[in-house]
Amino acid sequence: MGVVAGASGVALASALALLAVGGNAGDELVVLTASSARDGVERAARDFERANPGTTVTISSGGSSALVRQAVAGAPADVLITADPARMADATEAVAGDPVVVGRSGLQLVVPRGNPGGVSGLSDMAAEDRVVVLCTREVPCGYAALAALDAADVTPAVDSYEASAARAVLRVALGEADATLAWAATVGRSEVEVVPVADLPTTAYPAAVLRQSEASDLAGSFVRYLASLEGGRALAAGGLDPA
Amino acid sequence: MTPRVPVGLWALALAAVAFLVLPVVALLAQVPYGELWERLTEPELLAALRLSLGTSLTSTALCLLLGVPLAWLLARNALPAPRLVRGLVVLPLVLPPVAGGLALLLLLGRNGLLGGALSAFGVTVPFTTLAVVLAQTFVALPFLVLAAEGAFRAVDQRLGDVARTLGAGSWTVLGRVDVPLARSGIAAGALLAWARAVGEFGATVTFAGALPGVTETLPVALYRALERDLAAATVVGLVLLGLSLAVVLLLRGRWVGSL
Repeated sequence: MGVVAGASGVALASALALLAVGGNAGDELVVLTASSARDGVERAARDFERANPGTTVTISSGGSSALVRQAVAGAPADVLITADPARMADATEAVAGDPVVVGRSGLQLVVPRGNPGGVSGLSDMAAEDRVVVLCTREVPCGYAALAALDAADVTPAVDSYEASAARAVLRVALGEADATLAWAATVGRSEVEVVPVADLPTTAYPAAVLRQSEASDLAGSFVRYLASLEGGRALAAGGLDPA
Repeated sequence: MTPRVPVGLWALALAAVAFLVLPVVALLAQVPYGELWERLTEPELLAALRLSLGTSLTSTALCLLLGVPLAWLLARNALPAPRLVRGLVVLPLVLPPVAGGLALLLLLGRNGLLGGALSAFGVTVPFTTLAVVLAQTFVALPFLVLAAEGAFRAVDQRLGDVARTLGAGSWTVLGRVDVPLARSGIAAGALLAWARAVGEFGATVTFAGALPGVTETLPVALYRALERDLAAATVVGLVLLGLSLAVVLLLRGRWVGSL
């Protein structure tokens, strides 16, 4: 009993110590960002930290819908960036103030290096013998892709629906899939090729301060920084087009 | 007479039970019972249920086929380096399933260690129902091996020795003496392996992907439903809860009851 109590006491104490480290100390920002914008937001965050010594910015990325769900459920985060304004609108109850568009990105047809599947256009995504992945229709790159394919009158032969643009591009980068449609911002940092396709849709990335933020001033200045020329340069280096 | 139990112990035990039960209560409270039937009979949910049952039963059969011989050899100390083998077998039990799925992808993916050779023969494993079965077998096999090994160890080895003096070979001893005597332990292991296979998520999405009817099992469907409709997700959760309950009831009859 003594040993058990001692051991569980130690375990509990160390768990509490870990939790305490995770708490927001006022000069820490937690940013939830659409996975496709992660690279640019990461660069902007590092610049922001340099410009504001003592500040740390932690980034959590995922599919926009999952991030919105987390934000609405009260996740301890300060800033939300989604891959389209509609998802941001879903988060209205969790957002303080008006969202600001900080970047844009276009959908691209992405294939592995060397294009082993010989994909030359959207119509090749209908071929059963090619491995095609798309983002799941619950996230922006998914419904944008399905709309684009629909507009081109292509019924895709999908092999897997991935939870985010980053996941879809990863399948292609690993060579497991022959083609996907994803935001250019995701594509920039991956070892893949892009097949030029005319008239693919673009999306806007709105950023907003969350209601639950305990550092809303700092969060506000981070959002303003993202929307500034300087922040735009960092986002552009990560593959986002200017707002 | 039971000895007097200090209040503190009671409180901690009660907290443990509440901690395990309350989340399930919260899930049950959110289920849209009014439209339950329509939601339960939605084609996508039925497809996920069918796929989950089919793949999990297949992977349980695979676990039995591969796991029983291994467990028997381990129990009869017939393998070299048994501790090492047992350690390697238990590894997937503690390895996070996502890591297991990544490992499977790097082995059997188109550019994987073995997958490259397979795809030369036109065989692609990821994104197929076979990949789901393999992911489930990977995480479930350790449960079966551990349970079956324990069951075999509980069988008096001298019975097998007697059978051998009467001319029985190893296959006969295994099939006619040890497996029948260890059957309830093996069955419990198979049930645990099946439960683990039904609940498999991380390795499945990583290795097999997610496509309704092909690779989207119930847990994967639940995760996707969460992105659009909480009520739909709770219905999938209810189905999984029902399957888990069936496992618990079966285990009570066969395993817990005999303890």
